[in-house]
Amino acid sequence: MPQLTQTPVYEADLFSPAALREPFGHYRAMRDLGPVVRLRDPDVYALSRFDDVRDALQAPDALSNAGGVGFSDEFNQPGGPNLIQSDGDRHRRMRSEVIRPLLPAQLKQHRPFLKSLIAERIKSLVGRGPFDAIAEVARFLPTAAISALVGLPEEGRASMLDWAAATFNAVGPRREGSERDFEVLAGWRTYLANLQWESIREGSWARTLQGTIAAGRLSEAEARGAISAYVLPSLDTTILAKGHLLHGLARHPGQWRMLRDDPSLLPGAVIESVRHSSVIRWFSRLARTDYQVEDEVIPAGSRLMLIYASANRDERRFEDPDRFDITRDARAQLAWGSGPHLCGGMHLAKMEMEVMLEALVEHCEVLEAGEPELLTNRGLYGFASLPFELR
Amino acid sequence: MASLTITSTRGDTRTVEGAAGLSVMEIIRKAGFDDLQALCGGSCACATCHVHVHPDDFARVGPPNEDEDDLLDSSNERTPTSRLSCQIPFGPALDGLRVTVAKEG
Repeated sequence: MPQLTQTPVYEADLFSPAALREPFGHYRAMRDLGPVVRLRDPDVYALSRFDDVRDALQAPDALSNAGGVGFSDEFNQPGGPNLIQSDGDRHRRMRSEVIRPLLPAQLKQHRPFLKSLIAERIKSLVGRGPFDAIAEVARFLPTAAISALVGLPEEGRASMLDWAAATFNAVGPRREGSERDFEVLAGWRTYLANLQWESIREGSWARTLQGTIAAGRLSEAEARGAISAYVLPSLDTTILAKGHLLHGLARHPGQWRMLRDDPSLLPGAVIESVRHSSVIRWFSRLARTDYQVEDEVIPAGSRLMLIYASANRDERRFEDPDRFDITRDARAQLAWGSGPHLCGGMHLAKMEMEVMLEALVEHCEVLEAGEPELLTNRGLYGFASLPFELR
Repeated sequence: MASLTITSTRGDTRTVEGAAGLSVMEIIRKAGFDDLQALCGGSCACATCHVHVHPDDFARVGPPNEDEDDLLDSSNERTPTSRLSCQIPFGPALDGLRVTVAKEG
């Protein structure tokens, strides 16, 4: 019988500010330590290798989302249904409603508009001298257009970025400053509980959920909870992913030139960027049954940390994984997860990144990046700011 | 073993043996057709394993289930014989099945 005492312990704190800014050395050390490692705080099992993370994401019967995907009770026990923290039938019903406007054919109608918006923005920045690419470029489409598609009334729309940042911090273990995040998260939950359907913009993604109640497909609580899936993960994630893409191309001028010469490389560049620098660092699952990884058995009731960002840098799966290479086939990457909870906004994220790149290729010759300032968000890896210049 | 004939988006065609118990998606992936993305790993969550079943074989495969139908509706490439290959369990009854990987969109 496998002995749990064999499970190696990774002693370092993955949630210290230094580790949050520079996580990749920790991930490599964890991958080398073994397929399963234990952490001290939080006291959880962690999977960091590609195959193991992918298999765990595709084992929803053993590994539950409804038991929470974070490490804090405040996050894991929201007091009402939400999409990511549900399993089985409820998850299927909620998901099939939420993803409807986010599938490629529905999104296509927005593409020309999004493209023209970002192209105007890029043109206005070419030759302007240094600017912050996070504020001026990466944040532009999400705040100018995506938040309008979600449909919250103005005061809610203005709070989306604060709610999102607090949520992705609160997903982590309790640390200094957590109280403030929990307060902001509680503020979002109160806002959602009191939100009047009629105040949500007619025809918007969130408002469309209202119709599922009368149709008997979702309960009032489920439909309301499903709004979270549009509000919380839709902005910050793609903002930070665009920051990584801009940085990657500016720091690899040879690859930028290749892309300009051959724009058919563009979708691959987007995928390689999310592989190389995955925005969602990790989510957790609760083991409903004993769960086996190689010759180790993780007992039922344990919490597992699945580190997407480490899986995507696994040298067992990707050759020279720290290298940013837009010509590699990175399609197996797990930045958007896998299995039934695969990111519902994946096609939107890709589209936002692709139209940004198209606009850059069409209007710029040179990208230059300075030193980014790294965030210490416990769920998201990305830049607070990125000095940039377009010529 | 039963056989399955796969045509890629680029038009290459190959016939492979498919083990019973696997889905058509899994057989296509194992055969190395990486233009079939199958991002969600077979949980009917993403519509990236879309195939066109040969019209003469469609009756044996049958129509999509309800969730699958919704996902297929999101594709501009949908035809009357479209299926998500992760939702087709392979077996001897499907021997000789012909499928073409659908383009994205």
